[in-house]
Amino acid sequence: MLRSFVVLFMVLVLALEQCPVWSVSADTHATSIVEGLSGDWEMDSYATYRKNHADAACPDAEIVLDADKSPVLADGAEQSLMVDYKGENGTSIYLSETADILWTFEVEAEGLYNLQFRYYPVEGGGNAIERRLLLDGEVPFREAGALSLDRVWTNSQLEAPYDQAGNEVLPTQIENPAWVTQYAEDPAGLSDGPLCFFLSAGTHTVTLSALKEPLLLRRMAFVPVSKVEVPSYADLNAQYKGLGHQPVADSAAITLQGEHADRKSSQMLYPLADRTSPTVSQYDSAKIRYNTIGGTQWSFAGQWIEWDCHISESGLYALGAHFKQNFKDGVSIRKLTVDGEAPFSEADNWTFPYNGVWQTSWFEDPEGNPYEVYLEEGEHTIRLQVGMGRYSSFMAQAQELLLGLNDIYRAIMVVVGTSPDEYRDYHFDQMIPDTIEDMKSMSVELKKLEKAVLALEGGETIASVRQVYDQLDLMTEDVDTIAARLNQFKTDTAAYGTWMNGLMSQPLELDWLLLAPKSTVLPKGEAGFFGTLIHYIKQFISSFFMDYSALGKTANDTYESITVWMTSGRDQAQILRQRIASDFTAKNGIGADLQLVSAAALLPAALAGRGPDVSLGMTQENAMNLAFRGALLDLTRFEELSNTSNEFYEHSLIPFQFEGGVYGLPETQTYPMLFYRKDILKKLDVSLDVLDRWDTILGVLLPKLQKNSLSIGIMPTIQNYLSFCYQHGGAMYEQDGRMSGLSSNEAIAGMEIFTTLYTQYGLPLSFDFANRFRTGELPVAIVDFTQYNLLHMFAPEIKGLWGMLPIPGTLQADGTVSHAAVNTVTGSVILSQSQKPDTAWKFLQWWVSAETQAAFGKELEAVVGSAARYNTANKYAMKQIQWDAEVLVNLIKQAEELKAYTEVPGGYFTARHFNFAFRDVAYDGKDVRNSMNNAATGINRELLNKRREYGLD
Amino acid sequence: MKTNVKQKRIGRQGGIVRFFAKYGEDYLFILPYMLIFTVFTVVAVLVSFGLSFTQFDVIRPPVFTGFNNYIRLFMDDALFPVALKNTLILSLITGPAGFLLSLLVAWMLNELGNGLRSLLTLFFYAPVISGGAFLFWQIIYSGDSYGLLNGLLLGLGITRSPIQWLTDTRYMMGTAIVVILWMSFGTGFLSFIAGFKNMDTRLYEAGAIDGIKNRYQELWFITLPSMRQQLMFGAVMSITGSFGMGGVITSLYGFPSTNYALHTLTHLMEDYGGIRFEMGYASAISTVLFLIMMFSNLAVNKLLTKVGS
Repeated sequence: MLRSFVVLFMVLVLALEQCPVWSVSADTHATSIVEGLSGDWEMDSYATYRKNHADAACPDAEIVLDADKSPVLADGAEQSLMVDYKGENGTSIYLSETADILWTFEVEAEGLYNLQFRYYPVEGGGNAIERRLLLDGEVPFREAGALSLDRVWTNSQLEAPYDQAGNEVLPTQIENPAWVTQYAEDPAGLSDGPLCFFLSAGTHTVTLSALKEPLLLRRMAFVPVSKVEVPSYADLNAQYKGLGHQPVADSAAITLQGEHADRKSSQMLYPLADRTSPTVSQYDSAKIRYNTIGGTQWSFAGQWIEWDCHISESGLYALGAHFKQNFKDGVSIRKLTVDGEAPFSEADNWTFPYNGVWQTSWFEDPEGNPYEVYLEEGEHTIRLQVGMGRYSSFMAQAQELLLGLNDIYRAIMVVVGTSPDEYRDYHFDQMIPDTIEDMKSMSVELKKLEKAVLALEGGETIASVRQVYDQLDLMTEDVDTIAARLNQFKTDTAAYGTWMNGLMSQPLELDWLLLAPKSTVLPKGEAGFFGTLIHYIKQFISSFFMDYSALGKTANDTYESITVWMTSGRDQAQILRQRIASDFTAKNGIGADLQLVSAAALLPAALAGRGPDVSLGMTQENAMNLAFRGALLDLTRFEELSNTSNEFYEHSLIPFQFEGGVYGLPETQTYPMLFYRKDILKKLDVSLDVLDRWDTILGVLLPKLQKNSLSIGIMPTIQNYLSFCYQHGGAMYEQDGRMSGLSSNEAIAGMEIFTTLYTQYGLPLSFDFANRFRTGELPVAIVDFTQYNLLHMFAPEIKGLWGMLPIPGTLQADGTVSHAAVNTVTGSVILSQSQKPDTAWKFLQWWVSAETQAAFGKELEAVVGSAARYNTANKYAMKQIQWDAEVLVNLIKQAEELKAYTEVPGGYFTARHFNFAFRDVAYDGKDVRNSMNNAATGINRELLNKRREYGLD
Repeated sequence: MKTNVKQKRIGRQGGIVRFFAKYGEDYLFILPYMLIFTVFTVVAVLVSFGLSFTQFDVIRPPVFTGFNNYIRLFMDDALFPVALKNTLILSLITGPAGFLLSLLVAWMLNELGNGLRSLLTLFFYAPVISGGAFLFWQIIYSGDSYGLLNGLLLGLGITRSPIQWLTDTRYMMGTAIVVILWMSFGTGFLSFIAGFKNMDTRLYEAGAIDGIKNRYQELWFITLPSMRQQLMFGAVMSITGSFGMGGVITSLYGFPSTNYALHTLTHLMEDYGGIRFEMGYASAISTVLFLIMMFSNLAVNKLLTKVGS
């Protein structure tokens, strides 16, 4: 660890000395790291940026930055040049997900430019490609902090294949890369069209800093601001009339099936199976048919789906759709482009209103006349993209207001602390007069916002906005009530955030698109009363005959087959079944019958001799409990074990080892990480290196936090204690698990500090992490890294304001800092009663391999969403799962310092007695050493008992 | 003698035939239940009793060890007295208290109008119908400063830092008793309501003539004696219930509770059976628990015969 830092440092020094251009770039990189703390939220938004440069000219010059003519930052190893790659003339450069690239260039004509990328989305983790753009070492405005470049996805098969029972099997989503020219646009979709960048005359540098995913870049170019004026529909229509275009004949009408989309921007846009209505095409009352697309997955700004179509007759076409939008109140909006261009200016606002059932409608003007587009005979491409349409004008502001509300909350918190006293006079008007002014103006802004939204949606008031400004008004009218109202204000702000997120998301499920003359009568969106009745009766009857637990089962009798049990959710089982069918069975000719069972079923089944061959997703404790009793197969009998083991960190294997045997292979791992709020630490003027060690945290950070009534969150669990224990050189067990290690001096030293956190520093013993982290009451907390995704999804109002680091460490005698923490794993096992151990082993190897784990993780995330990000224990697969590069670096840094303990017979007593010892000290103020000795005595007795019972020495 | 025996046998056979002719249908009707009851309850209890004399780790076959488990339980297990004490405290307080409370509330409800009575009955019975409703107490007792009880106490300025209601041994027993009392309006309560409703009102008139002075005498001398069956049923349910509160305690206080402060015999059994897989020992505990419950039911039966005297 230390050595690699030293080497890195020396490389940097060498680089600095030798290459003057690089020295500039290295500096910019350094500032960008500092920015990690200063954060994007303090930057101007694009709207402000445009306002500041409102008078700037739009010169007609073009500045081309070719990939091969550029100096490249620090880690040169990962980059390579490609000449004439895939039909693209010229040299392009491969940029890994950590490689930054920098150009120095001259500008002759000052003014605003658009930015264009020419790139090839090389295969990576499957995420959108994200890059941060820095002009002269600074991000010009917030939106440029994370520009996203699309990937192109498609169905692996045109028609979905069928399984044994005649159900369709979901076609996998594969990348269909091609060279793309794309403008830099606002990733949130809040501003219209390409982003403009202001360049003064003279020398500039531009850095493209990597955030996510690798990229093959041909060139970047600052191009003249696009001046293509999209005509309004009225003008276009007049133009058509002048040219004598006529609606086409009925026979020229074509239908585009949603699920057969030719290209889409995300793997999450996979076909959906809808059996809710007989009007949906390819309807089947019982069998699974993938017949629609979109749904809640298709709701994020920028996502698009494209259909190719062959037009057989030139003429005017109207566009119709069969869709369902029962997801959100109000409308979902799509932007229509034909052959890459908006046909008329209203095309960015195709609205799909809410209704509980399937609907059909034309894309039409407010008076109800369908829009018509002239299409020449031949091939065309129709694209529907999620956009904000008319909402875009105020969404940016709504977001600003939310950040402002959070600021206000924390400003008040500083005065009143975490448990405000309603009856105390805090003199808010003298303490925080500025904040009170902010609150007044905030209330005015919120009222404006409400009016703007109501103008579009109609209605009286928006409760979630109203609650906030009512609360603000009441607080400012009588400042003495602020303390009493603070809690309600917090709740209201959270509700406002939820409302705003709801407004931003634009879900839509699409069955088909119709290109037809506007005289066509659209079919009914939903079946009539009798149609629906028959539909339900059919579904009810077929429910007796369909075995949905066997979905996707393709194994047939000629295969040798093993039984695999799994205890996680249905989605996981479904995905794994597909992977087995398409990968494992296809390659090996071995079937695997995957069954979803409850976790408690394994033991009784194993007892009765009716257990599976392989069981997946076992907790380390459950697995080893079976192993001690001889119910699991010792994997050391397989020669390839050491090869397979190499794919894991050593510490994730330790829990499955016992007395020389290995009884399972790890699947997932979890360990603690430190979460921190960038904005709050910045306000308190705390630098990040303080978070590196416990002594600085307790000495520097905590006093500052507590002065502001804030604190640190760390749950009093044995997992958290073990970090302290390991960092002080202790261990959970001694003598190969014969004795508890809790009474050693090291373990006691760890316990001293751990309990001091609660007894002297007053850290909360119990708290709700997500909520208190959101509000900022616990700006620093140590929790499982799996919370990352939860926060990412459910606390969007603090997006970009927080980060994740390895947990704080303890200084060692040799001057290094140990960040040790405990790793907890789940694993897969083979039962010793299995009749086909070799086949089961083959399956196990396949399942824990990097390839399968990565594919499973990606698919799981595509289907369930990023809250379900898979925490694989395979260290190679972990790098392929869609973590941001910066996050991954920290995750790996922590992973390399993890420790683990062996599961021993009777080990369940350790957590139990630890809890007793902890509570004795923390609640009753008993002596640490005494309590730990008692705990160790209790544990040792049980360990001895169990060893005797199993006939161990 | 011989003929005598033969005659007797014929007589007996005739008796069996006659018996079946008379009651055969009845037995046929209870047969399905009896089968299930025998296999899953009677046999299970017997097997458990048998296992209590063995050492059995679930996976390997049991080994006979005589009275070892019982000796270990009574002589060697430091937790057994603790668990026994907790079990007795919880069941002595909550069993009778819950019983009396149910009775009292049922009596009061009986005085109300029909509609209101049904509504209140539903309210009181609701915690039992909705199985997991007691988890609500987790929010009340949460150790977070935003937990309901802590929030209230902090807000009123009574306490200055949140109390760990569920993990601090000083508060655990008290909070547990509150929860269990809250849950005590079970099946017994319903049977009391039914008992009160089915009272023959003529008895009250007769009683009034015989010199009953007030409602309490009416309750003690007329109402309660005539619903002795319901009382018995309620008592059995209440006592069995108070012995079986392990699940509720585990969900609220964790397993095991801090320093075994709420460790009951059920927990001890679960600990050995479910976690340590010492089924023989767990069976011994369950046998002891079974005997305690049986004796307390007998005792209650004796007590109830005193009602009204």
